[in-house]
Amino acid sequence: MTRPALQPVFAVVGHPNKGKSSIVAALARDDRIAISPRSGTTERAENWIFENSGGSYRLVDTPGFQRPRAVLEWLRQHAYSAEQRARAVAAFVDDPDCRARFPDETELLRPIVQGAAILYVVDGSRPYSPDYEAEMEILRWSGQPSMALINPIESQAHVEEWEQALQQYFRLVRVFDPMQPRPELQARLLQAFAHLQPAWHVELEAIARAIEEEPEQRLREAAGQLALWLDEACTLDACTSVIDRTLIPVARSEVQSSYRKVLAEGERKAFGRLLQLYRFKQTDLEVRQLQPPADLLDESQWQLWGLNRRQIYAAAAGTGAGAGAVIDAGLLGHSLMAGAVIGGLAGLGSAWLGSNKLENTRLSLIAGGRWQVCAGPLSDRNFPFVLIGRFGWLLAQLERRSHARREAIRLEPPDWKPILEDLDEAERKALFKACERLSKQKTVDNLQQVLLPVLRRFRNTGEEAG
Amino acid sequence: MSTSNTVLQKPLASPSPASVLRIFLVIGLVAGFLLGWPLLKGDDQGQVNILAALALLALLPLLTLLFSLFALLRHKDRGMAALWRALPFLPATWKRQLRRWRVAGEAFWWLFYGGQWLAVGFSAGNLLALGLLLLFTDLHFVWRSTLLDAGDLEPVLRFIATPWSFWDAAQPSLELLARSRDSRIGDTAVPLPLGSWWPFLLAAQLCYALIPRLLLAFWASRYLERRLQDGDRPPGFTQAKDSPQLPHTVEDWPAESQWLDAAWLPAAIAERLPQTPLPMDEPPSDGQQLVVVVRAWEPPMGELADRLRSRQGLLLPLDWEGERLRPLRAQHLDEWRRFAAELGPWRVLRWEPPQ
Repeated sequence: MTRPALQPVFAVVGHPNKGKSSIVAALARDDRIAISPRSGTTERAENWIFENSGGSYRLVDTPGFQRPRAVLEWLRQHAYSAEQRARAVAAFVDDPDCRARFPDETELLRPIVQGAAILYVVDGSRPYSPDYEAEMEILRWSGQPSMALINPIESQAHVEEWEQALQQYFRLVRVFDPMQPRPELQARLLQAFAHLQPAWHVELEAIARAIEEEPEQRLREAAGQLALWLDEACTLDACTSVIDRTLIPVARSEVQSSYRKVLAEGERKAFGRLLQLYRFKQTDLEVRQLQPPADLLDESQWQLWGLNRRQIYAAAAGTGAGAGAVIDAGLLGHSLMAGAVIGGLAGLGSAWLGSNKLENTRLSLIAGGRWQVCAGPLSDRNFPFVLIGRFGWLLAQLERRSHARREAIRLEPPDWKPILEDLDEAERKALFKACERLSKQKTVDNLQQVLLPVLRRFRNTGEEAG
Repeated sequence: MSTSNTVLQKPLASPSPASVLRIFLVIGLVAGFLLGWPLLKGDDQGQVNILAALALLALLPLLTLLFSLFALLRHKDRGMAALWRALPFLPATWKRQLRRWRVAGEAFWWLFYGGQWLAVGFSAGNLLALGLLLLFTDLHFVWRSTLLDAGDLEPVLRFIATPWSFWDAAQPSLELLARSRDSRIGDTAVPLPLGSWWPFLLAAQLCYALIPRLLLAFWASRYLERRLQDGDRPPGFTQAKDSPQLPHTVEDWPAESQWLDAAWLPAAIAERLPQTPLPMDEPPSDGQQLVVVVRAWEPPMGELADRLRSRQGLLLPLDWEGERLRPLRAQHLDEWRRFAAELGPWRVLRWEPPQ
């Protein structure tokens, strides 16, 4: 048997166009891997590293088998007994004549000869065929630990017959759908492999544990990122000054435009950081730039992304009253508690007065007789909800998105209702208070902690939808 | 670093124009019938006020048509979408869809399209009510006015009837108007066939409601379908088209040909292929073209290319599940076309078994 590589290495091999690259993308959590419906796009073996706090492993995306029968024939001519087989495979890879005649097979077998374990990929939606036996036999000859992965590309229609056939060639057979990102499945796959290859046991177990812990850590980090972005966005402004009063309209238009640009750029960066956190490096994001609506008195646009008018009133009443019961009443239709209502009226009144006044620009006379024109910061109480809604929606999408997908993510308005309903009273109250303070450009202590349960609800809605 | 290619993935599912059509059509039909029936039924004596009927069958459709055209010119959807969302009976999924449309800037087109079918349904509901009443009751169309007489009304009605001036029976006449006048003062009740107003009302409904709305609905439908086709394509994906470099596919099974048997081909499918198969790897008889059956879903491999390179013929990709043939996928067909192009003298045979 070939000596195992020091770092866990997996060569992903199989027939052309059976989802090898998709599996590499899913297991490496890397969306840069070329995936094409056209066969033969992988011509050279390519290395992709997966790394987390537990360690790292390498995946080798390989070209598909092209002439397995002829290769097996060659191997049979060069190995007369079982103990010679692995050596025959190594000799095949090194033979210049073989490299010329069988470029795909030498390329795909090279990492295996160098110590990589085998992940053999088949399509479980199509029937088994004896045509696959030659390549499975070649892989068996290599003597490397191996696992067969049944990729249900279109359906699970033929998984059972594949399992029966594959079990004769591979010690481990698993169904693995690279389009469904399931960290626990990836962890289990590695743990299973850890038993096959004792040399990698410790490292694979550590990586698997880290994979299982990753979602919660990632969520914390995302909440931290969102907290920073909220704080930044809610205090953002753009100012300029003019001497001539007649230039104020021009200056007004300029600051509005720069304010929008800065806001959009800020959100783009926040989204970029979130994509990075989820290891998406190349996925396009079709985000309509976050811009205050052209008519700043039009609140309807804000209601798409943030809370609707009723929820805003409930939030305002709740923060004023300091009682979750009122929030429940506003959101869920429970009966009002008289004591809480009295306290809440103040906040409700301010919501009513403020809801349609998204301040556009501010004008002030400054030293030297100049006029300062500023756009932002926005004081609308829905603004923080709009930002959280957009961030949370993206998070929910990323949570259920496989790295093997190549279509763009589309940003759509979230449905706040189930999220707010699912938060407990204290969490909801903390969120409303935090947003109230943010909309007044006040700092919120421990904002990350306040946002964590909210993002968890967003994540859960993503999982349910997925 | 590798570059990524895109795969065809349909983004978020949207309702199809057909499903929107059905919902709006049904709502309109029910509303049209419920409103049309009491209005066209008339009073206890079966007397129907022509002016009220005209308001329902011509004026209302005309006004809403103008409103629709005005909305088309202004192209603003904010109010319309908000109105629809406020409807209490609208299911939550539709409200969510409206939000999506608004964000995507598509709400106007969907609502415009739905609005046309709503109007078509409304008009059909009116016509249904009118038809049933004509069939099962004896309607008397009359009109009443304190200030107007038949001479005042006749030019207006003539003007309304201009579009169908070729239809004499549907033209209002001064005599008919005069006879249809009903007054609570004096004895003006004339026992005449006052039901002869109905062709006029029918023509008004067809001309000002049904036909223009159907035309607008078809136009909006085509427009939406075009938008859907463009919008559903994820960025970077270009629709597969026949490349001029690829060989043309052959659509008809050549008369002088023999197909090569394959052990994996289900017997039920083999039986449906024309002619008897050649035993595996045997050359075809003189003058016969060789047809090689391949599994469409399996990408062509090098070892097949090695076998075919020195020969020529047709590749027949087939897709099946169990013993049932399935339509070929464009992606698979393209694979085999590319393969045939690389081989040289090979072409792809696209063949569907006779039903």
